[in-house]
Amino acid sequence: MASISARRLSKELSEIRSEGCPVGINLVQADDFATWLFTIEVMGESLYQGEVHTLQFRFDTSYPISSPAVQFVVTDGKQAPVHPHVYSNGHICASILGNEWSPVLSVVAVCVTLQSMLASCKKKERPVDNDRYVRNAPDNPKKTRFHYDDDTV
Amino acid sequence: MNSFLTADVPDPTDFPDNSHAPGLRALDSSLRCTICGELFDGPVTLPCGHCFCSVCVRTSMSDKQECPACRKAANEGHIRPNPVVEEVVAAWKLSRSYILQFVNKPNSRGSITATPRNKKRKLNREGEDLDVTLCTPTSGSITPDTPSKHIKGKQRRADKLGGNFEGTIPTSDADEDELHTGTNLNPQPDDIVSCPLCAKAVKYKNINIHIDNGCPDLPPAAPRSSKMEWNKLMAPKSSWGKDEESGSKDSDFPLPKASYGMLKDKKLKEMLAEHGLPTTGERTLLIKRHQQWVMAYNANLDKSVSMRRPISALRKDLKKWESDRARQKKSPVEDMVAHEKRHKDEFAQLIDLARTSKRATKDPSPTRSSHDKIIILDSEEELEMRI
Repeated sequence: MASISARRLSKELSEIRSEGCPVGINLVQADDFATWLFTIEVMGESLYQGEVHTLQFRFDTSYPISSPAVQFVVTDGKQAPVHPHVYSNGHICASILGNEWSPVLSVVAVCVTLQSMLASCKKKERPVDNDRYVRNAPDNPKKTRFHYDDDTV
Repeated sequence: MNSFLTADVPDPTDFPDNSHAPGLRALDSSLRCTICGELFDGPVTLPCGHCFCSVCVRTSMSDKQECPACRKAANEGHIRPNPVVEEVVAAWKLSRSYILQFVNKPNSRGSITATPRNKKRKLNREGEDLDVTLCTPTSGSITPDTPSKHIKGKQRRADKLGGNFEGTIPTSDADEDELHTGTNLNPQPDDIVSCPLCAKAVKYKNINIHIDNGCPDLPPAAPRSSKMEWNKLMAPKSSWGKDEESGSKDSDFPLPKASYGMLKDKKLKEMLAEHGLPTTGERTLLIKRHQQWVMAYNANLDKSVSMRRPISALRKDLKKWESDRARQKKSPVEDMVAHEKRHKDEFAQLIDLARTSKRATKDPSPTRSSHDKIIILDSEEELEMRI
């Protein structure tokens, strides 16, 4: 029998395949239970109109008890959106990916949250400590302890 | 990996959408734990009303003491078993594959469903008959043959039910078969049932103890009187210490969580030995093992008695959990030279990357970059600790 994480992910995948993703979110790649790719795009009027970004999910065997490692893809000409909570290396400072993660959340739920995070943005800018963080950032965003201090965006 | 993806893991989308099978997908989905996505296994409810598998919510609570769905504060003490949902899930497990047969095969639909529907109608009619005979005494016209008619009707009904049952349940699953071969579905505590493992005849009330102890030869059970119970309590300590070991006592009470920081290694090992668990390994492993055991044991108690797994099965689960965990851990590098050779290309690539990025940032101090590395390693260790 496959592990709990693999079973849970296969259920999420078959739900995505049969019911589809929410508007603006598309599954690009899910060949295994380690890495999935989605494209995400903000619908309606926003600062990010016309931009399509790629989100990468990485899962370990303790999913869904522990959160997936989620970041924007910044290779192959793809870029992270300019947002006060998104670093230029694609890492995202969002509480639901860290200490606010809950095992009832799903891949699609994370996509929707990030979509609305972009949609509600008022000013396109990088985080203030972007350069310092990007220089020292670990490969896996889960190894970073973010401080969540801004509830407005 | 692809074989995993296509592996058959049952989920709500096995059922067609609402336009083809109204409500079935939603029904299947609402009987599943939102943490693991499986049909509830030992469902429990929190004060906020949300329902999860006992093991899932206990694992989640070891991380954060709140309801995973609504984040309301809750701890293990708030967990209450939900036997009604448990029954619903048990019934749904039986009917799921049966219903799937019909919804996914439109050609055979008409011919197969026709028979049970007829039977149901017949049953209803007989049910009405029964009601009439039951009503007769109040109307005052008791004829001598009414009772016998009544019994006959009841028997016929039971036969029909039995026939219906055996005829329509699919027989592909061995587990499901086992459930139905027994004629007595609701044994009384004193009824003799055959042990599902060793097939010995055991009293129903003793079956769990029997299985938990690894199917020993039971002495013919003498009727227990209150006097005997008292004698047992008053007997010298040695004899009821023995009883405790056998696990028949206290078997219905959850294990308390231990404050491991206060415990010496010796006590920790004693606690493991008490439940027949291995006492080898490092202290951290001993603690993890005991934590996992307490969780699995208490989660098992949240199931109704007939659904509980024998203690020996829990031990096997723990063994599997431990070996899975060991496999996940990175194996330490033993042969340094061989390791260096094997990953030579990787290392060279990393060194190249580091050199170019250093040139790009024009960071003059070499101590700085080594310092950065240490920070990341630290956070890695932190992560390990958190897991």
